[in-house]
Amino acid sequence: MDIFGSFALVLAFVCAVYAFGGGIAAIFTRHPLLIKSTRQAGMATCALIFLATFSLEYLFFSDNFANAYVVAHSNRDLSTFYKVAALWSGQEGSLLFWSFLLAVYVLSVLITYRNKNGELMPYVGVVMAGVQIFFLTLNNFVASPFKALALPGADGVMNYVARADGSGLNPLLQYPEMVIHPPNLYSGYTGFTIPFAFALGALLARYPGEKWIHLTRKWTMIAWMFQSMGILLGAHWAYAVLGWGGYWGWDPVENASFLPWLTGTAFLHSVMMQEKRGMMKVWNVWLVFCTFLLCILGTFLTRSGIVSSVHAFAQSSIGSWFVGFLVVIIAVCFGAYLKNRDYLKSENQLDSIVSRESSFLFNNLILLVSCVAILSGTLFPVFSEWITGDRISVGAPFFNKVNIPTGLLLLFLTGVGPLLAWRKTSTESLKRNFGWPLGIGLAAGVVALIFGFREIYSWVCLILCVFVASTVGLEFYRGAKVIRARSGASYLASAVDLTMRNTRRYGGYIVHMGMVFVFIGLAGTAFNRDLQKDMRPGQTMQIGTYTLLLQGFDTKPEKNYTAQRMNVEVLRDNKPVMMLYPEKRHFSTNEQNGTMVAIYSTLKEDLYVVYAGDSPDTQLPVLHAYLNPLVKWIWLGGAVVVLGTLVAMLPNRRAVLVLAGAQQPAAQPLTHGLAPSVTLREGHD
Amino acid sequence: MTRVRQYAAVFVILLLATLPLTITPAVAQQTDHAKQLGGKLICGVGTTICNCKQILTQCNHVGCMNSGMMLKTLDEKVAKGDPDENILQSFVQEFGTAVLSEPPKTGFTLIAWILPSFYLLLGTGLVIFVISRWRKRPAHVASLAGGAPGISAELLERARAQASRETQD
Repeated sequence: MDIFGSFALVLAFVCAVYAFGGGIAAIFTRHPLLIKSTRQAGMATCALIFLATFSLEYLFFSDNFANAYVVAHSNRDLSTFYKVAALWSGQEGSLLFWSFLLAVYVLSVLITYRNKNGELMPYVGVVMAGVQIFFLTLNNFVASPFKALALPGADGVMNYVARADGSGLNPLLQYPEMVIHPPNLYSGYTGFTIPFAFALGALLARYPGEKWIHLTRKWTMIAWMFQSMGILLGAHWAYAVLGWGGYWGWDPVENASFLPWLTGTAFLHSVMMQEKRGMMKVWNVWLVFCTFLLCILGTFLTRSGIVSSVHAFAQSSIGSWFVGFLVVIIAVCFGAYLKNRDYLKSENQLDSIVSRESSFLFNNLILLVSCVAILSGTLFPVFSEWITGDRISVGAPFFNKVNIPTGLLLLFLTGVGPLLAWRKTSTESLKRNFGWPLGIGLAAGVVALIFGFREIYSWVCLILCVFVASTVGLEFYRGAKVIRARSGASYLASAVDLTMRNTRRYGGYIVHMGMVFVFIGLAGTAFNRDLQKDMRPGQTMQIGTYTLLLQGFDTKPEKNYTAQRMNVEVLRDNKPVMMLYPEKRHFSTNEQNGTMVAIYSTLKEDLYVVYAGDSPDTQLPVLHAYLNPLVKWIWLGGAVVVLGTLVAMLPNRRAVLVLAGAQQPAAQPLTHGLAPSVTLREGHD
Repeated sequence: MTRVRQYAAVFVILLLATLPLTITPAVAQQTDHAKQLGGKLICGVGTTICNCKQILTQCNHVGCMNSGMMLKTLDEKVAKGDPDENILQSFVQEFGTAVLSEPPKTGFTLIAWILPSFYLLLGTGLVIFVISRWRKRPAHVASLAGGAPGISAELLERARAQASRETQD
């Protein structure tokens, strides 16, 4: 099967080269047969990558320990669930998985637009094939996952061998979220290839700029949604598995995943400027280019070993390939831009500084400043070592100091932006839209002060969260009120109806609400506390309102590991709440240890308990308990963000009504008497 | 919505907003000072024992001897009443500058601290410049975007029509 996989990869590479070369020829000749054959070569490339990926998975499932990659990342006792995840647990397999996900996107695009956009698609196809060629080069010639296991014999000659069992999967990866976190994150990374391909294709084809935006809107949102989910699932995995009580440590690999998310978010906002006003065309093209470049840069950082990270793959020479690819992409993007930049001129003027346009500009500014600051902070140790020869660390305290103020500014704009009108916002409109939310936000701030809330950033964050939540709530309320007045439906039903009439706008508001929840969760970090104690059975520990009673220990043998568990009873006001079982796991296959945190989670706080090993002084087991307020709001916020993105991708219900309008009485206009910020018109705001 | 409902809505929002207020502020503990200093140090620097590069007080790798040793040293120095700066410097002498979790605000590494503010100032200046240019641009010129050098309005319109013709959502 490994030969089959290798062969499929080589064939995929050949097909991708044809799709690329033939595509370029098709652009010049416009020969229909050539266009069709290159499209089919693109589809064949994807099908062959699927075959190669499935054949590697087959090697895992069949415990084929003659394959070096399977030996390094699996063993017989590994559950089927984790044998799926073993595919992306190492350098070679994860690169193949990258190609796999990219192939899913490319095939979807080729099928979706097989009979559409005939002039643009050869350009798009060439760009997609170019990206695929790069990754297939790595899969075939640099980091093949299909290498047979070979060991040196007594005569020093390498002999192919098969092991009886494998070394097993890294214990840190044996957690359910590790089966879904990398696919989500990689789907985000690879997904940004599609808007990149359309943007570059449209620029090369000298399209003035609007069309590729329409074509790629959903693709961008899909990629952004996966990136968001990937980041949050990664944070949750770090929280639940690593056992240090936090979820985000500003590790270089975490930062690498966050950078394209920031530029992608900026793009999703600034794209509205282009659609509504024909402005920021150059900016949007470069935002998409930068997002894709940051995806590749992030992969380079993770895999080259250039920055130190607990998440990074082993240091290898693969980084130089990524540098080469980055140079090629930058050169192509600059070349295309310089050649055709005249087709990207803005079509409108700015009427007022107090307008939606300005808010988008500042929103983009904050997102980009944050992105560049994180990037330079991440790379600063490398530059410092190059220039001064002294390696330094740039850790979480630095990133927190830099990003908390920018994050709060962004949160403020999240509330302000949607309430400003396009072109110009009148003073009357400002009063009407901001009066209540601002008042409620400030009232919450005053109440917080009265209650002794003195942590400045959390206090500001609280005020802004209430302000943004109020603005979003007010938008839904005003719109629903109008619909309710006409239909007599309940407020909830009217709000749902309102959302479905303009899914993009109200889906966006739901996303904003999700971000408010995330910020509420982040604000809780200032109040984290922890306690560590050597415990004998029967002893108790007090943290916050909880009493932790160590009832005893037990050993729980599992198929792939043996767990030593602390049996901790959680009491509150002397009443039992629940049992928690923090674990230390021993994986005999690779002689590694792991932790498993136990969490009692409520909306108010998380009681987070870790079995932190045995004390070297007392030989007693150590219980480390954390009380982390509001963490659950982050995961809840993530779910709301995903929901909002899905809503925003739905077609507007009103469009369907218009199509069916021949059999129905003409719809009455619903916009009578509404403020500009709640106009129920078709389209997107 | 009646006024009663409006008040009810405001009350609910305020009630939700005060949820964080039910969090009791952290009680000062003996080790708080050591914890605070531990937050300024990194585990796994200048040693092969642990390579996690996590904040010292956050390193919780099973069996990490490095963080255990560093925390013990830190606790001893804090208990002795050494000044914070001396304690941190003693770690720098043993493990190098990289043991500090944030770059020192002196010499070359000061650049790391200046850069974010520089980006913000530069970006703000750029946004203000763009806004002022857009505001100065007369509407009729703006609508004739093709008036830019290198491409005529007619050509741009033709390209737009072509793009519209050749693409479908």
